[in-house]
Parts: sequence; C-alpha cells; structure tokens
Amino acid sequence: METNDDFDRGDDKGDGLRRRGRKRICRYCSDKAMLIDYKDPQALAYFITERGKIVPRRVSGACSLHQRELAIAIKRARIIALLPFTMTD
Amino acid sequence: MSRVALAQGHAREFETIYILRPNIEREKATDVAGKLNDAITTTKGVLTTVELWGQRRLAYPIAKHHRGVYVFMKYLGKGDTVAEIERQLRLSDSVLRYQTIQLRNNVLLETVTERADLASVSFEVAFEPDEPEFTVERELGLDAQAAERRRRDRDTDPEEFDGLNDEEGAAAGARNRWEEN
Ligand SMILES: [Zn+2]
Repeated sequence: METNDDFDRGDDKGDGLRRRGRKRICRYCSDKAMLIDYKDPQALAYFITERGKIVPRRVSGACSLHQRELAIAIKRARIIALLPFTMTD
Repeated sequence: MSRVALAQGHAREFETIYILRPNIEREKATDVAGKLNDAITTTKGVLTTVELWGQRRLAYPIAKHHRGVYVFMKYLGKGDTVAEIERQLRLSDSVLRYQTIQLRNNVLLETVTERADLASVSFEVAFEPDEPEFTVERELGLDAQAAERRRRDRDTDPEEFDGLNDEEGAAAGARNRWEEN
C-alpha cells in the first residue's frame, strides 16, 4: 500500500537496468492529509485525462487502495456534473 | 452491511447534492427546500448541514442547461428519509439532478450536535439565464488550443503510455482545462 511495485513490461532488451518510467509513488499515501473527495473536482482532475477518462494507475502511480477510491470519487463527481464523462473538442 | 438493522438511538449519515435549474424564480428554490425540510421531519431525520454553493458551470449540459445552482446537505436518518427526499427531488421540475451518498452507518444520534435548517436558506444567489457556452470556433475545433488538446489526448491514450513524460503531460492537460473554466 505504501509504494508500488515497478511495472515491468519485460521489454528491457537485455541490459536489465533500463526501467520504463521512474519510480512512482501514490500521492495519497505520501500525503496522509490529502483526502479523496468527490466534491473536489480540481483535485480529481489530476487523475483524469484530457478526454475525461480515468488515468490508469500504472500512469498516475496511485496504489490500488487509492485508485479504487479515486475511481469511485470520479464517478460520483461525474454523476453530479462536477466532472465530465467525456470531453471532445 | 447497511442492511443490518439499526440499534436504538442510531441512524445513518447521508449527504445529498441537488442541482436547481439556473433560470427559475427564487420562490421555486425555497419551495423545493420546504419540501425537503418536510421530508426530513416527517421521517424523523435530522438535518445537520446545508450549504448553498450557488451557480456553477456544469461539466456537461443537463436538459440543455450549462449552469446549475448547487445545494449540498448532510443529514441523519434511515432509508425512508432518503427515499422521501429523493422522491421530492424527482418530482420537482426545478431540479436538474441529485445524488445521495451514505457517509456513515450506525451513528449514535446523541454524538451529533450540529443542526441546520433548510428554511433559513435565502437562496440569495444569481438565478440567471444560461450564458452561451460554445462558440462556433470551439464547436468546430478551430480555436487555438484545440489542436494542442488533441495532440495531448493522443499522447495520453492509456495503450500508448510508456511512462516518462506523458504523466506530466496528462497532469498539465487536466490543470489547463480547469484554468480555462
Ligand atoms: Zn495510496
């Protein structure tokens, strides 16, 4: 829960040292004061793409516990029109 | 979990947000509030918080409205309180949308001392007609930022991701959009 295992795609091509991306830490684990709240769309906006999709946790670095909470919060925010379901230009 | 019968003197805590049409008369807003007040008292619920958030932009249009007046409330009660509140919200033409969340189960009533009154909300907010949200340029994707946004979306497609810089791109994109609003 504290940190994530590094995501290994298995395409290191032999050198063994190359790691994709950098070590990612969960924002909500590193700052316990931060709460996940569906009423705070600005905070949740960090975890959705420009299209309005939920950012996968291999990208955002969120741990599984907080990713689950984030997904629920984002869906709640969408229902009450604080966040979009989709964005198209 | 929430199906378990409540002990004596206990209740569940809920919060409801509802969105009023932006172009209604103030009396209609107080009318809805009055009905919700009745819903709570007749079902022996206790209203603990009311906040008038005022008119906000909706993240997507609802019933052709681009803005809505948000009202937030927290209360203690049982399922029948929620059912009656939601029934009233559903029946009202002034309400665009509502959502209820259960916050806590098995709350000892004595431990909660906050009280609020929906009748005291004056609804002194702007009830205005909608502003025009979309320019022709925006609709057609001809505004300056549109191309940049599309590029970013391509980059942030989950299947395309391989980590390094795209993370910042997605975050920056999300922030930018909020600043635009
Ligand atoms: Zn976490």
